[in-house]
Amino acid sequence: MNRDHPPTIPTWILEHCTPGGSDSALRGDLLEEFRGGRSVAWYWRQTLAVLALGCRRAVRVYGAALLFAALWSMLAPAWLHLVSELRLRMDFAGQMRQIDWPWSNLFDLSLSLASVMFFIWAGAVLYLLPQLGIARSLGLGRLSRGFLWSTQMFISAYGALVLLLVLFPTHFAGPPTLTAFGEITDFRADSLVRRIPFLLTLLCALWPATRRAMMGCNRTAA
Amino acid sequence: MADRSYLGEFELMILLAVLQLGEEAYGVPIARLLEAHRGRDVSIGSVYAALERMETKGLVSSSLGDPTPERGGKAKRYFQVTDAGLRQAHETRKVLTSLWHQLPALKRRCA
Repeated sequence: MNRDHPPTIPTWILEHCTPGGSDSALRGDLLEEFRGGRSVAWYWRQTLAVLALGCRRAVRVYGAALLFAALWSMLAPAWLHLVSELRLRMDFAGQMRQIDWPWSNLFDLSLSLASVMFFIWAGAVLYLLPQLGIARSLGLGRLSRGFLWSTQMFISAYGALVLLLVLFPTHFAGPPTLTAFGEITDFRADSLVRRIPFLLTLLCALWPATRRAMMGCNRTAA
Repeated sequence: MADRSYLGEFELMILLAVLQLGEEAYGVPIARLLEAHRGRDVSIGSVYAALERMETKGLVSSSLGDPTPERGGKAKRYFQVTDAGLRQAHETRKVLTSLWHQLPALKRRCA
């Protein structure tokens, strides 16, 4: 180590261990100061401060997204309950019988998926509303891609859940809840497990925005 | 778009430093200026964190300069105070000044 080369370990920490990545301009500033005569101890202190700030920001950004996704997915069974009530009222099953197989099943599946994704995307939009700056900086293309990936995530997670219910039917066979409010306040194991696909899908939909919030809207982490 | 909340102490100091430095306002001189006035070490990371917060609020804007070899090929990020930032700084100063003027006893004690 000499004046041209700052200590290796803190430089490596800055480049690889800072949550969200550290700004290259910030790393350049630290290097400029070090080459200008600052001590190794100073360089270490600055690095640890950057690391601590990155961790604090990670807890805030990822914590907020996780908390929101958990709370929103708690409402998912109530939403499904409302949708199924609506289908009963509209005699959806009767209308499906008038359509030939396999179109009836395909239509039914598509409609179910659409209602689920509507709920998840409504949650994502609600979360992004106070962060319009970040949403704008991402652009419609990346946001839409995030939403599309989330559909794939839901299908995969729901598939895994169905498999779990088939393999262990006795573990997840509680009596049904009769009201939408009852669904929200239902914290039995099977109800919680049924919320997991919603939680994962919402996190997937929020991921681009959360990552952008961590990186900063206009920052270069290269 | 800037909100109506007032600037924090550190944010106000940084905003004033950026104004004072003009076209030379990037991380190193901002931190040095703050150190000179505060009389203690300033973390460049916290300067950047505050500037990013203010950039999200529309109080400052930034642009990258050219990469230079003495900075390991890394560009400087120059900051400028926006009109909204200037308004916010004036508003905060007005409130602080008005509050200080209402403390004659404390002013005499400090003098």
